[in-house]
Amino acid sequence: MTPDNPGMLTTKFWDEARNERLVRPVCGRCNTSFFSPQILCPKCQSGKWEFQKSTGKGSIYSYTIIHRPPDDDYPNPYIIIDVELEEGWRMYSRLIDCSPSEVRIGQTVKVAFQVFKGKMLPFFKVEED
Amino acid sequence: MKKPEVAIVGIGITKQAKSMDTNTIQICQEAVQKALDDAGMNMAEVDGIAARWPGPGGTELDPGVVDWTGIFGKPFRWVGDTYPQGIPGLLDAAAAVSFGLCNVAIVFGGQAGVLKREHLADYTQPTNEFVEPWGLFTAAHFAMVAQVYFQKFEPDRLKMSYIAAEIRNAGAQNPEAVMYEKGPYTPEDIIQSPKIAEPFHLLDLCLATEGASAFIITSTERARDCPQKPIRILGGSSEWYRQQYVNPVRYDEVKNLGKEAFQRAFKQAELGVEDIDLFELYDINTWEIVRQFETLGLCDEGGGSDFLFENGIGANGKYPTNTDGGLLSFSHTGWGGPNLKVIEAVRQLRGQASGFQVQEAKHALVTGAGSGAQYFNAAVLSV
Repeated sequence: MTPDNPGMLTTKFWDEARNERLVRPVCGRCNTSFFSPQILCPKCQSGKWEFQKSTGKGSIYSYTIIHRPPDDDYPNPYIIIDVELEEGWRMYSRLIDCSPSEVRIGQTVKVAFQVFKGKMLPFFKVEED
Repeated sequence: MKKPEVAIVGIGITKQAKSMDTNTIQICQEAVQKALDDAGMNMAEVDGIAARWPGPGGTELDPGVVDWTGIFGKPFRWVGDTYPQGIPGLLDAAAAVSFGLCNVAIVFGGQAGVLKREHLADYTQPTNEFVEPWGLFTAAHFAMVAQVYFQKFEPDRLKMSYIAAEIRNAGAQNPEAVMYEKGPYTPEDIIQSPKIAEPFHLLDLCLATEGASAFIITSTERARDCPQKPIRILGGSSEWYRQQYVNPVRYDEVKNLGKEAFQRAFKQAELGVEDIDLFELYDINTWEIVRQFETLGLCDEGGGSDFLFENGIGANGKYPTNTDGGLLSFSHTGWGGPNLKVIEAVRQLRGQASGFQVQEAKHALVTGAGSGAQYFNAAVLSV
């Protein structure tokens, strides 16, 4: 099922991204952070949630190095990551400015905004300890 | 749970190829006609259909959307909007026949005229706004699940590659496989093929091809009058964890996906995994075969590659697996691809394999989807 207005759930996420702020839905009833945005909180099914700013810090749960880019805008190879953010939510992203031989599960990363294909996106970079 | 009194009485499969100069509707109709001929039936007797409704073409009322009643020029009593096909279609149809919603159900799917050479198939690249920008595609989701396993257990890459080589070599000997005469492969060949989405190499990954397939299900009573040996559906079950290919899928959450489905399917069938003669498993990549054998409980988590290497999965192995060449080498026709597991199991159990034939196979296990897809299904078929 799609919401009546499919954009309504995610417009704010991209509006905030344009200002280089990473946000995620936080439930107003049980305080759960979740992602991707959906109509009801996955923990308590409350419809009252709002976007809150994330620290943008997290760690790599898993990654894959892709050697066959979909088009020429991507570097070859590039690294896709599954990030676990500090607030306990997770998202897919790309790790940039990192050599494929240096990426590791568990590495600390921080959000790094960059324009890609005309859209400001939350990429991640390795955070030096 | 009691054993359902339903059987597969007809199968139909068209030519499978990398791309075909026809269209999805025509190729599906061809598979339907072959299944009807095989079952000794005509369309007048079919009163149930699971072929995506009103698709293919989507479930929105866009131009070009298919109305199967219009195509076949007849109404139906039961319609299953089953996605994907394969085991969910099989089990839905079996339930519909058991409950009396219809007497004869046909399940079919496939694709033709949609794949462009040298491009990733569109359906493997979701357009979701939190997926697409990162350059994700189906194999990458599975790769991120597998990567955690690889780091944790450090499986012997050569032994794991034996699995891909063996399945591909079965396809190389099967005149109906898309990759017929491609091979033979050694485990070294698999590792030396280009890396695509680490830890997977090109030859670890399934095909995206064209063609269609269909099967017909009816009561065991009606099956007695059909020309072919009926293949009983003894048990089956599904697990739906999350929507596929949107939210990050994690090894720790999906590593045992299928365990409960296997338990329920075997309990219903009154059989155990040791009774299975034939494994037609959803080989979307090499590692998923390892994971499924581990989930079946035949070996420990992390020990699947060694176990399968030592026991064998080929014609003379202890666990004959993906005897037609599987999704790696036989064919994978998009949403209709899961049907191919059922087709091959039926052919083997009847003794009509197009590739190598497992002698006197009585019980087959068929599976669909896997960890990276966040859903799984299994069924036990029997002569």
